[in-house]
Amino acid sequence: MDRICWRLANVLSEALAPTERDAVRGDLMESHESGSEALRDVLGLVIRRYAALLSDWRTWVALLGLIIPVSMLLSIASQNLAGIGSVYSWLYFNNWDWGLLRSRGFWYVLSESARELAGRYLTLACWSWSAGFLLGRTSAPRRAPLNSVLFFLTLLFVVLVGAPRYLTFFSQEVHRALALPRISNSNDPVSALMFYRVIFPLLVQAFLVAVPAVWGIYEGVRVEKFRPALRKVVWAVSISSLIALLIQQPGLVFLLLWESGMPPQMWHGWPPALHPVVQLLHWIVYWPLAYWVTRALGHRRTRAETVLA
Amino acid sequence: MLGEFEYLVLSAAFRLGTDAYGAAIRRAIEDATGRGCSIGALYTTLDRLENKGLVKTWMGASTPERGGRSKRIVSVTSKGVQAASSFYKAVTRVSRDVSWSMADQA
Repeated sequence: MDRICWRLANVLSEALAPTERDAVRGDLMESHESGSEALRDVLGLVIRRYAALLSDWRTWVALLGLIIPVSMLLSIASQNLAGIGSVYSWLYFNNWDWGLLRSRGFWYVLSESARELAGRYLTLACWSWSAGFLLGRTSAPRRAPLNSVLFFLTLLFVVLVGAPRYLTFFSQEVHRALALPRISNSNDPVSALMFYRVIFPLLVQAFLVAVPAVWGIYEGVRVEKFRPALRKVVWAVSISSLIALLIQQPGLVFLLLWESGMPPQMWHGWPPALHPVVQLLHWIVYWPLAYWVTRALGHRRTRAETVLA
Repeated sequence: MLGEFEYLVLSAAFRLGTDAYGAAIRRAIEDATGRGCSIGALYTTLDRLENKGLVKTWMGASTPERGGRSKRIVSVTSKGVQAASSFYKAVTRVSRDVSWSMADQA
């Protein structure tokens, strides 16, 4: 038990600045404390350090200017995508018939829907990664863990309060007030099942929003090591990616451009002169793929050079 | 005016002189008060005192008994000496003729 507490204390001390971490670990070793006392001391210091950050105006600017809006947008996107995924899953799993395997039409629709869903899931993951990257990029390294926690808490709050559902309700009211075409409701037989109504959206949010966002925050903090020109490019594409998220999700200014509340094509409803710009934004969303591939190749080259040396 | 714990930290650091660092100050405070002193309270107080210009801190040499880890050395500045002295005088003045014996109160 003592060893476990010491190990936890060491892990927790990673949240401190490097010099302070060194001094604290040395003090604990010198004082011959028990593991539980050491853990209590380190926990107390970490809490005090991050509580002090909460009183900094920059934390609140990040929370109100970036974290809340972005997590709300991602949550809406995640809910929309979970709805689409739920319908397809319900169609295939809850209404399965082995006779379908003999139908060519089934295989055609399956491949089309799998391709469409995979593309949308990838888009959501890239958006989440870009959002995390931007958050990491705009956070000082010591603020990044706190901003990550605030991001997750906001995501959780938005999911629990049902903000995306309220925005959908709001969009329906706006459409009704302005006599616009009615937004179709979600599929009731699907949402009647708790797995598709609650668990599936949470899984989508966890694996396609939370996990990529954490990764993005981690990479965003490290971007200072890049060359200045590359930092500017990365900065520009990550902001562009979030602009794409902003204009694609309903519930905001662009709500009235869509009839159904679901974005079939990103440039639907925009003036033709803007189509090339919007189409470019559509491709910029996938910039994390280029980033991941480049980093992987860079790591492989570094490892090869190390082996040769 | 200093806080109570700030005064304890300044006094302990001043008495320890060149040997004033995190763990030593903590031991001195615990010996004097008979109560535990948390690392969190000590280090945040050191930061506050340093921001006020009452102490200077820097990372010192590592030692084997600390597992080769460096220590945070503390030095009380002249401003810190003045602040601690003012606090001590204020406590002494307000405590003049005060008896903390329960028998005297009765």
